Amino acid sequence: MRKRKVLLLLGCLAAAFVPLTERVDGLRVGSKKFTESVILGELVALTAQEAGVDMLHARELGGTRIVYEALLAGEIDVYPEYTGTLTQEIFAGERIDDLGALRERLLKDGIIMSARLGFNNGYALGMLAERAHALGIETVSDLAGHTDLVLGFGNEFMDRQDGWPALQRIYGLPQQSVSGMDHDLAYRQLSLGVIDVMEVYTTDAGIRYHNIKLLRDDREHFSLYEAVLLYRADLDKREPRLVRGMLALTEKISAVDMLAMNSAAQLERIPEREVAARFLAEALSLEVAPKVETRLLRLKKYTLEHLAMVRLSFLLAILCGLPLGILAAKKRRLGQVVLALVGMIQTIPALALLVILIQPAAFLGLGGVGSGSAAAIAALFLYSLLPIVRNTCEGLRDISPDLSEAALALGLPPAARLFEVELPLASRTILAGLKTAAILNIGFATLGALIGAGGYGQPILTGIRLDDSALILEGALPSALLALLAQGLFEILDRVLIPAGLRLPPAD
Amino acid sequence: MFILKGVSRSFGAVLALERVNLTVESGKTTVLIGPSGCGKSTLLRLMLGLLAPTSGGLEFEGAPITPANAPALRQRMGYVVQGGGLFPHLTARENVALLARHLGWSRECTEARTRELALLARIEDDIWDRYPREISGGQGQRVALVRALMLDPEVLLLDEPLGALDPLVRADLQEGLAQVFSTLKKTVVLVTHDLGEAAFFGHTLVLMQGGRIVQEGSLKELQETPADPFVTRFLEAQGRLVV
Ligand SMILES: Nc1ncnc2c1ncn2[C@@H]1O[C@H](COP(=O)(O)OP(=O)(O)OP(=O)(O)O)[C@@H](O)[C@H]1O
Ligand SMILES: [Mg+2]
Repeated sequence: MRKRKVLLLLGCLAAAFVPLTERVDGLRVGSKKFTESVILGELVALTAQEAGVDMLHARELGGTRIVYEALLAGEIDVYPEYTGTLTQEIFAGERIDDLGALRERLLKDGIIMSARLGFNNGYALGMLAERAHALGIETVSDLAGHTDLVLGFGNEFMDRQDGWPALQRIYGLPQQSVSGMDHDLAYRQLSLGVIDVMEVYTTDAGIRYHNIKLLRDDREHFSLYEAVLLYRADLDKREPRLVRGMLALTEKISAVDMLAMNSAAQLERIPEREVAARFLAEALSLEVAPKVETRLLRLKKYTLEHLAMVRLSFLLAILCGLPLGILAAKKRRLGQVVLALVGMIQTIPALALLVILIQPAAFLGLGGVGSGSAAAIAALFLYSLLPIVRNTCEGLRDISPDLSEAALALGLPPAARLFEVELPLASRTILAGLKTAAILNIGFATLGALIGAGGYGQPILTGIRLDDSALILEGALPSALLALLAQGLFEILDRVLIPAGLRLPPAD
Repeated sequence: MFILKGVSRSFGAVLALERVNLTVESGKTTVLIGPSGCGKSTLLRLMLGLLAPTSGGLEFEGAPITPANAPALRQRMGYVVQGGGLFPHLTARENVALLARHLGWSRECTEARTRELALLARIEDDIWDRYPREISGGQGQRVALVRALMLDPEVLLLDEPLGALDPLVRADLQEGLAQVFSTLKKTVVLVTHDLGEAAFFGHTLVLMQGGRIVQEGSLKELQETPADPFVTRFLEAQGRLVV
């Protein structure tokens, strides 16, 4: 019996260290979580492939902050960006008047800005064409006359210096109902008539798809958003071939090209990689055969990435959570502090926690973003602690005083008391805590995709972006299945680890 | 064996023991008796060093019991908590063998000792591989007793070892226990609130009330020279049962 348990535990430990995902130490191009950025990322990756350089595309890394930080930390080597975003968001509060000043400012961070890729993708306000026509709205100024319009903006736009606050001031917009939401969801809300006005990027495929009218920026509030590539200054030395290859893209992509590519990806559901390859063939006469992934291969990759995240973070949570729980049970004062701290972590929003953890992870030389992301694993670890610590503590405190006294009076040394009596008696509660933690962990791990850790969150993110329910299910279903599987596994574990004597119905 | 001098113990506002003086003699059975809540279990816990007195001092074999030496002293005492205190996750056999295994006894040695004690305590063979939830209350009490006797302790501290048993089983077990005590020549401190049982076992009866010792002595002394009207009342309330 004891032997079986020890073997089981050793087996679990060993399984936890079998590598699941390959760690790519080569170069990485990053992209943000919207289609255009992903396509541009694919373009860079394909030019790298063409130049014979190994390069990984860390797709859909979430918002600007995450990607820029990742570039600074060297987690990625290059990513597509927009000049407006740099001046308005990254260097908000610094005075940067022209592109020359911007270029110099970036160099201070060790980052080089390429020449423009060829198109401007600025902000504009949009309405369904029909509705705009009916209300006779042509320009942003016209909005001022329609007080009860409902406005919905992407969360980023709500907070940006040049976003909603400035727009409201400059145009004197009177609308009361203004809400922040995910940019991709805003399209849906707009087409459902839940909101009347949203912000769009001028090359968004959604503009064509939903037949959206762009309102003229008659006071020229929005700045230029020229697409450029940002790359680390050392890249020129490390891979001159790559830099030469990707810089061939500059001045080659027109706004029309970009809108066409966005539409192909978003509306015709052609994979971004293929869209990019077609463009390279047509515009640059570069024939690159993109590696295609079948759905099954994709699923396998997501599963392995997901498991890798869950496994390591969960194991660490057990290794730390059990001792912390024991400590909390034995030392009342300290216990309260520990439980309060662990509980507090639970209240930090997941995205915030992920972003906070990227820098420290990079500082420690661990992968902050990308698959096997230490930041994602650390966040999951922190989230898993609470149920483990709390249940361990409660399980131990709930042991009947008679039994603790019997163990004490028997003269068992403290360690033996803990391992032979207290932990087995608390095993049911402890295992219930582990089960909760595992299931939470599997669910939370879908958020890892926000910082490129992959897993089942990846198709969910892409699915939301492309408004593709099938793709969302491709991530949501296996994730739910995995949670069920974990549940089942723990039922079995209950059988093995909860002593038989405790599984009997209590006498009388 | 035990000397208690002016021992008091309070739990918050509750004074569970108040200036208790008591000497427990070697080789004798001392019975603590008194109504529920009078402090019997607390007194046992103090003797085991599981609780420290609020004031006063306890000695075991001439040395004061301190939190530092209590764990070592406890290995020389056998204790059965009120209710038996068998670990539900271990079989009867494992319960009994737990400490011995820790001290590195061989399996044969443990087995032999178990058999010897089982005979004394009249435990049926077929219960050893069952869990506490699968055996009767009386069997459980006996297994707990065997567990306490395993290391051949100098003192046995038993907290209502026969509580909650039906009268027939109880009478039978009393016989068994008495035989065990006399065979092994142990110093025994036994708690009960049943006068008949106290009289059956006790060389010395210690009658307690509200945290104080009211009187100590043989049943006869208590009957003939009661120190307090409470003694007479207590004896009369239960006395109808005593022959
Ligand atoms: N840990 C504790 N915390 C607070 N009060 C306690 C504690 N242990 C005992 N007491 C109180 O001390 C008094 C004596 O309790 P004790 O358990 O010694 O009584 P007892 O004589 O063994 O009673 P019984 O015959 O019912 O077992 C009671 O009033 C009880 O409520
Ligand atoms: Mg008691």
